[in-house]
Amino acid sequence: MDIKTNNTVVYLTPEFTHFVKCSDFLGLDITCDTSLLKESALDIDRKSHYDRVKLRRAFPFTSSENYISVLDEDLNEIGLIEDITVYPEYEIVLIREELERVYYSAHILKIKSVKEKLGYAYFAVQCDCGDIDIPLRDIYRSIIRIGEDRIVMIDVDGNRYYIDSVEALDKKSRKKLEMYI
Amino acid sequence: MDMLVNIPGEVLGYIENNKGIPVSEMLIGLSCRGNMPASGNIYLLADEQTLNVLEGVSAVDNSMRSVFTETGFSSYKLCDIESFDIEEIISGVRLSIRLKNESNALICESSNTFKEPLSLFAGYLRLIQIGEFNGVDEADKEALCPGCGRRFPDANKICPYCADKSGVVKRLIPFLKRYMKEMLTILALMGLISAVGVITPYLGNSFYIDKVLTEGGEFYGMVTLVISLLIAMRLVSFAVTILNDIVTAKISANIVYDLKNMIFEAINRLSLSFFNSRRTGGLMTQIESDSNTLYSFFSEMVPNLVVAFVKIFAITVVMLMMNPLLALITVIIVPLYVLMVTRAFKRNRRFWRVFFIKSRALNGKLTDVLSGLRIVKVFAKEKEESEEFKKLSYGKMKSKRDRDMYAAIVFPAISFVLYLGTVAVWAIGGITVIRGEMSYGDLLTFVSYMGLVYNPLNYIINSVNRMSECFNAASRLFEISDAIPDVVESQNPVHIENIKGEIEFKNVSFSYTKAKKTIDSISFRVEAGKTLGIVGRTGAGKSTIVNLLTRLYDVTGGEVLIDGVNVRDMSFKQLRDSVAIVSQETYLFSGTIFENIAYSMKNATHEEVVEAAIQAGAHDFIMRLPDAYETRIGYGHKDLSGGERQRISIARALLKKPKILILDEATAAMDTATEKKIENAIERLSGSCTTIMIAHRLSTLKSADSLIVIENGKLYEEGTHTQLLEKEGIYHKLYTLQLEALRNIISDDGDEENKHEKMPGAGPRQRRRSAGASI
Repeated sequence: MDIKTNNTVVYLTPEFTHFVKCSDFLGLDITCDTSLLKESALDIDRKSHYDRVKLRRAFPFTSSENYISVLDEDLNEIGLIEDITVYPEYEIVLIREELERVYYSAHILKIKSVKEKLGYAYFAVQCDCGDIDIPLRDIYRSIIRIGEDRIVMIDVDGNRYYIDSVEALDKKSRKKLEMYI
Repeated sequence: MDMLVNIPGEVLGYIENNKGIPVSEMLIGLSCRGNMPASGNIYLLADEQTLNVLEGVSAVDNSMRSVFTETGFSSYKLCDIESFDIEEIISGVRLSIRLKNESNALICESSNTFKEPLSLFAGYLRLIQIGEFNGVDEADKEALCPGCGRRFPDANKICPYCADKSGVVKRLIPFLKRYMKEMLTILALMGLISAVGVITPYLGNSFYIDKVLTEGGEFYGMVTLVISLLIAMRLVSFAVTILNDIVTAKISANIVYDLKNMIFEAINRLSLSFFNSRRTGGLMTQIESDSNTLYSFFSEMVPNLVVAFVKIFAITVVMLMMNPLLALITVIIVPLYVLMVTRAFKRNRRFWRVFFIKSRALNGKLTDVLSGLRIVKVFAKEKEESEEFKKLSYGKMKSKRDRDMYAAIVFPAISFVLYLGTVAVWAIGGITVIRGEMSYGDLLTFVSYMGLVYNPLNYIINSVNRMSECFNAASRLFEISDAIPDVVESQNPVHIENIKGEIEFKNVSFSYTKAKKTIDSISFRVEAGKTLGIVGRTGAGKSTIVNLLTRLYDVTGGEVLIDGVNVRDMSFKQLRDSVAIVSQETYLFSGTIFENIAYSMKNATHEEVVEAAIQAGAHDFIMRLPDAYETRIGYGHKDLSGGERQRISIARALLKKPKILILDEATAAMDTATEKKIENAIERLSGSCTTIMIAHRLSTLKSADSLIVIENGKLYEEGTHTQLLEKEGIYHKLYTLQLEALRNIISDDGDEENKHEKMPGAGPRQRRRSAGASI
């Protein structure tokens, strides 16, 4: 079996790892001798079964299914998945479902109004999940450009809202947003 | 039942009727929204035995009643639950439990909005489990703005959305009263200037043309009289303006001074927790600009607005008296003008704002590239950076062009409309003059008055926006000045004569947030003059112990005693006079090294300062600086290294000869040789001063009279270095780990040195490195 490690990262592949559902959580089975994975610089003792693993995207804005870090409950990295699509269909569904739950954010379709009040800004927007009022603190820092045309807004509680394409917004929404980006 | 986030009535009814759970017997409840669009609401309720989790959605039926539909229900016995886990995921928060049979269960996933209530809920469930639940703290319950139902965006529970601006105005009135005399003076002077402004057109037009130049006029031919009067008027106006400026300059300084003092005093009075819950970055800059805004409100806006309204009123009355028909034309034009100008200003502000944002982006890029020029060149990125710069520069240029184009077209257009109004007055007025119903002079006066209305109008329109800026500034300032400190000084403090420095912690508990105890029932005692070392991992609660001793925070349980007296009963002055802290983060003020050391003791002599610097191991490096003790440090002056700054702050602490000295990771940034020097200095102090040392490097603490080991806010081990090593517990483990790390460094360095032996000149540096390593 070919286990790809480069002394710092262990790449997880379907040959020796299987994602499983453990009650409400995503679990992981490692079928190879876990001592083979010890070359990692992180040097954690890997178990052959995890009841609960956590997933984090290494490039959350640009690559949703590649370079997925698999962590144990204490956030130690068990390994990295280069591409989730190499796993069997059933496991891909599990991984996708977990990623969706961890990363789900509403997408803004239209900006209805912006009101600035006492240093806060309230964006009344239409999202893919309905109409919401987004309160922002420190407006300029809460609206972040990612790439040329995408924007993420982070509200007072830390919830994220995406605008997938500023260009694709209607003219009125764009005008409202223009003041802040 | 105490609710952290209210559960709607129909859901409670559903639980009672369909689940057979007596809601009134529940201890704690919470409702939250799922973090995915498909997930409904989640309701958590717990009593002493059970945690119930209900999921579902509420919808309005045909008869407009809210109906609840269940999508899931589960319940868990609290005695089966081993632990509660709050996991922060990007989209929100996940509350899960670990059961005693080693399986996990997901309780709920919710958006970030419910992160705090869910953490608190988990905290309270733990309290229920151990039988220490005494109801939910009022401050932990979710409070919604009664006006709009929105959640408050921060801890001070002011809803920015419907903040009562009249409240702010009321708060400003006492300020107005304080400067009443000066403001009345300004008002009177401005009134005088305006009166002169109103009379002048009359003198120059109606009076001059009709009564002096027209044959048969009362003052026919007396040109000199009018000219003299006009000059006199101008002189009066000139003198009054100067006087007005002098008075304004005087009170403006006073107002800003008073405001800043008020805020600064408030800041000093407030407890540390106030600043922890707010972003303090730029706080002073904010205060600076806010007090300037408020100053202009008092000294400029209020008087000018009053004058503007009076002026408009007076001119309108005069115009109506002169010719009601012409006045009517003006009255029609004015609203049209106000409408146009308001819209134009609004749009113009948008252009300015876009321009401001584009400029900021460009400046940001410029600063980035200039400060990182070396990197840009090393990676040969000049071309890319130039292109990026061009793009941003184009953005700025375009926004400037748009802004200027707009101003170039719209404002003349508005003037044109205004001009049409004037033309209409000329036309109708001309006819009335020809008919002999009005004199030529009166027509000229009338037209001048028309022009006079627009200035105050513009001022009022402009003020609307500035007004809201002022209210924002005022409410930000009041937020600080109104805040109540958590740590309050005792009204009748106990004064301890000759403090010895004995410290005792009796069952001390403390938490920054309700959900987690940072310090949990800790008790220890340090005799006067002895040294105590506190050992623990990062975040174990070591620094919190120090904060509690100095009353930067107050304990939530138990008591902290100095010489047998509760620190709460001591005066702030005596407490802080007898305790000196040197922490990891040193702060040196702008000034000389001497001033920085002498900061802790008024009127310290040169000798005392030098003595303290020697003790702190700072003297040597200070003497190597060209200006020695008079070297200026701080922003824009001499930069000191971390270790040097640290030694100055130790000298500052030693200078005041404290009875209790706290070194919180104070020697972390120093090499072993310097650390040794300081250790020796501290050893010399022992006997005269009780010392508490917190350090990661356990070798620093080896010589302490006693050591305590803190883990997760609890005291695990206590004893001397040797006793703790014998115990083979946490201390032993940490010590061995650090010892191993040191051995690795030494052996690595040894290998390196062997390699470098063939390379002359490389050895000594390596040797120094190995000498600098320590555990």
